[in-house]
Amino acid sequence: MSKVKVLIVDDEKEFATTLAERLSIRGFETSAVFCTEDALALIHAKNIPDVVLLDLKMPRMDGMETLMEIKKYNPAIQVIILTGHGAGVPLAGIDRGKHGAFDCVMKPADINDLTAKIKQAMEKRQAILGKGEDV
Amino acid sequence: MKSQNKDRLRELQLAYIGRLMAGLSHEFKNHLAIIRELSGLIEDLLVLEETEEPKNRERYKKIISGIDERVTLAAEMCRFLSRFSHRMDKPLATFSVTDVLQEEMYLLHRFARQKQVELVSSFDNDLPVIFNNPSLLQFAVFCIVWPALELLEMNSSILITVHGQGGKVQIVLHLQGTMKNAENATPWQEMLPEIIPILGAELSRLTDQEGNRKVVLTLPAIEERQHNIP
Repeated sequence: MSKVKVLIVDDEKEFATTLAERLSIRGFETSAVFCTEDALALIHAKNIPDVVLLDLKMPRMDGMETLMEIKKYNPAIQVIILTGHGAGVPLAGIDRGKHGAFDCVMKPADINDLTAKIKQAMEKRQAILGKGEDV
Repeated sequence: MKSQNKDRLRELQLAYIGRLMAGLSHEFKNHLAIIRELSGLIEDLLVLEETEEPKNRERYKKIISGIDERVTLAAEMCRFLSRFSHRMDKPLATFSVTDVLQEEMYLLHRFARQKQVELVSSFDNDLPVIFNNPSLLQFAVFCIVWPALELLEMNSSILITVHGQGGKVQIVLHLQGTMKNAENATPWQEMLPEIIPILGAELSRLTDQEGNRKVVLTLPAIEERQHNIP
């Protein structure tokens, strides 16, 4: 069985790279980018991750705009908002059909909780792909 | 000041403090998140090695120094936050403009980074202390900087220079770069004419030939202010 591909998008480089290493120790195939533009470029270049861990507050394009772009391009990609933003993510952004995030996890996150969420998100992705929905 | 305007001033001051605190707590969580991941990584690596003598001694040292650095940054943030909060203890005090503005710049840097606007400050060494309302001065500077951050295009800069002049202190905000046209004045800009007289200050706006804007805020000397409190 192939590894679950996780893309981490966070402008805090040290956070993104350390989390990527910890998730790869736990058996995920990880990559990290430090701006939303690089994340979208990667996805548009057909390097499709299964799950994206996305920070909300980043320079230029913020996380919510990026979430919309990702879901517009490929609704099967599951996005988990990983943020230190006090108000979390507006509820409308979470799991509302094809265009919302799968879930929102607050920083600092527990690695086991995060791993569990990624696995749940992957199950949802497989269910969508299994149904043959338009992605 | 009319009571309606006083209410508006209080409302906007609370909104500004809320905005700064929200930004700062977000940044604080970032430091904590990195500390958690770095310490977690040490734990992961130790579990992976399962030997009595760690192989990656240098790597551990680097990670531990990363944790230490983040703790230092988070502690510094708490220090500035505490200083900023204590500015509200007394409505009038004798203070150094350098200290008051440095802590405000520290809090505003995060927002400038988000907007990709450079925020730089330069203070004369021998600035006189002044007698005034320190938190209201910070609010006045915020009322100038915040709308500028909203309107300046990416890669612009805000340079703040502070000079002493015969006991007075002059704060000059140089807004360099292209500025979007604002349809309406922001509530912060509208509040400035109410704040300036309370500070006993003078405010002027200048635009040079290249279109760069300059806002000059002149604060009264200590003797002048102590005898002329509104």
